[in-house]
Amino acid sequence: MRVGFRFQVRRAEIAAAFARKSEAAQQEVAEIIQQSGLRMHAMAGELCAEDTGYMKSHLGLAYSADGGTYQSEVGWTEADFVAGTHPRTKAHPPFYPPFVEFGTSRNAAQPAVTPAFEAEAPRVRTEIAAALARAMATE
Amino acid sequence: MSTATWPVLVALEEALTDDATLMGLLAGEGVYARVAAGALPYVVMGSSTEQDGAPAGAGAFGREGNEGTETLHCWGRTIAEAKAIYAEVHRILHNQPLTLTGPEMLTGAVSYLTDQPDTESEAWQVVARYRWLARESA
Repeated sequence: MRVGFRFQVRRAEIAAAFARKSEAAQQEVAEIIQQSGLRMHAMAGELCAEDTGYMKSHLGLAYSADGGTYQSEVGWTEADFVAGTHPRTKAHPPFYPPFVEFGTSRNAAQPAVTPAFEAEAPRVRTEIAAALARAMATE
Repeated sequence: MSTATWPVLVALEEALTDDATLMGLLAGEGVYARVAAGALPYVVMGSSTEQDGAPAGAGAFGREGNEGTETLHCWGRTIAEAKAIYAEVHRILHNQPLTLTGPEMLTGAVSYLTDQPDTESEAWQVVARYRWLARESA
């Protein structure tokens, strides 16, 4: 189980735009996805609710460019919440970030990843569109 | 363009509370800000985001525009009830631009983000995202 958001561009999805285009253009899109992940991770870290700091310290960032898919992902993974690592309980901490991010019936949500994703999404769209336009113009 | 979040929040609450079918599913005041003060089921209007000068059409026709989101938490005593409430919220808001005081809303769309159980009770929530585009009035 995990909670998080990711930006993902598959080469197949933009094959028409990238057809016969340069590796440089594809690398530019890959760089955009990578940088957006870094910004999203930084913003989510700033917004992350902090008590013991355990959740904030386990906020993850993953980037991959395998098989023509460029992907940045920010969030929490259940496997990272392991026994003996929580500064307060020392026991196996429950995977609680979803209940902080989205709230419970008694506690208001304290979102970190959601607003970071929403803040980043328009910028990613704009930058990818501009990169594609530049690639098409140089044809 | 100046912020549109507050006009959107006001219009959202009016659209939801004016709908008799939705309100028939909810208890008490039915729609709350941030965290509920009444009994289940209810809708909580959660966090907001807004970006100036959004590129995807909000600034069309030479006018400045913004893009934003509102998180809506649809709480039910069961997951089925939470999903039924979400369905009504979707019916009311999806592709139904709201009339705002000040700016002009171009689009409003509802999407299903996730669902999860409560930690305090048997309740469930469906987390929905309301995405809007608005521009300054002519």
